Amino acid sequence: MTTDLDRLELELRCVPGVVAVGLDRDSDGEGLLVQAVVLASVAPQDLRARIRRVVDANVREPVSLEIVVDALSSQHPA
Amino acid sequence: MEGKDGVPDARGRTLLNDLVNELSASPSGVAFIASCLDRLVATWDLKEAHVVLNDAVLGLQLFNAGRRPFELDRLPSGVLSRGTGIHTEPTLVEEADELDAIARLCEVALRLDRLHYESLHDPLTGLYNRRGFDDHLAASISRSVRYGWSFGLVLLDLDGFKAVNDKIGHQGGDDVLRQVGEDLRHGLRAGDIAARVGGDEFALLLHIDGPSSIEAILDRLHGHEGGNSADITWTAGLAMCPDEASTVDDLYRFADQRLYEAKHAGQAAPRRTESTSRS
Repeated sequence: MTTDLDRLELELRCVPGVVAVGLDRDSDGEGLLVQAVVLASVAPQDLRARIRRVVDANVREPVSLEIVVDALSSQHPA
Repeated sequence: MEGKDGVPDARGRTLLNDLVNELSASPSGVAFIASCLDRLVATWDLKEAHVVLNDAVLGLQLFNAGRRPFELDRLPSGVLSRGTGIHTEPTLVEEADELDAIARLCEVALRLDRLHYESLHDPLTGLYNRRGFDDHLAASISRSVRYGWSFGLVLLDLDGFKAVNDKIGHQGGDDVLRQVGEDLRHGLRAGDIAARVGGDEFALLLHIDGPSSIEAILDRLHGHEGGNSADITWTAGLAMCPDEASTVDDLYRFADQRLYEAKHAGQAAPRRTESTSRS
């Protein structure tokens, strides 16, 4: 089973508020770690659900999802 | 541009030329951007490389070399406030012009990706369009054939949508379509996929074992409160893969036939029968 990582990353970046995406494989190569870095100020209320749906639609393998909110917000230019 | 020994350093120019040639051959924009950063790191043995882009639609986007997840305690300090462009650790002072040109290539790559995304999605509802849905459908067929997993293709047709448009106008009709899109987006289970594949026609890819499961799923898709002023019902046609068909065309043909029969039999088969509550 393979996941189209390019498509997954692009669809995640098209969710409003998502500014960065990280992808990694478990050391055994069996699972996928998906990280979405989010600016809450421009994110919709159902952000987590939207991200989850994108992941569910594109990933057919064990996956860990990490949503990082506002870790970059203080660095956001005015 | 000079190297450590004062000899002109051609690495930046060479890398830029290589990347210009790679752009059109790259499988996607995000893959190209990842390749740019990885090659920057490899060429100058960098600790880190990021690029910040500002897309007209996506806004600020940050990319990390290697596509690696960011470590929360090592997020690049102030990387967004440094503005758009490529940022490296250590800084490549002498290669500023080449880095700027590579950043422009990355902008083009992201714009191409975003246009590709838009070509696979319906702008009104935000769901997949027919082309985007068919990509998932083809992938699901492959998995079904390989692993024996069943799934269903459901075509949904809104009943009397022309009358809705006539009654409340096209703007109101668009609002109804958006509301249906929201209903589908929020009502489906993880892994199920919805698309708007025609004017008032939607498609669902449902991971079900057989037809007996579908009614409960469609019942759950009953709309959210609020929205428009028309009572909308829909009629559905289901085709199962691999039991009934195992090609995209055959699945559509089966589902379309069932939808046609249900419409002409006046069946609520399975059908959304309650009006969305309107304020």
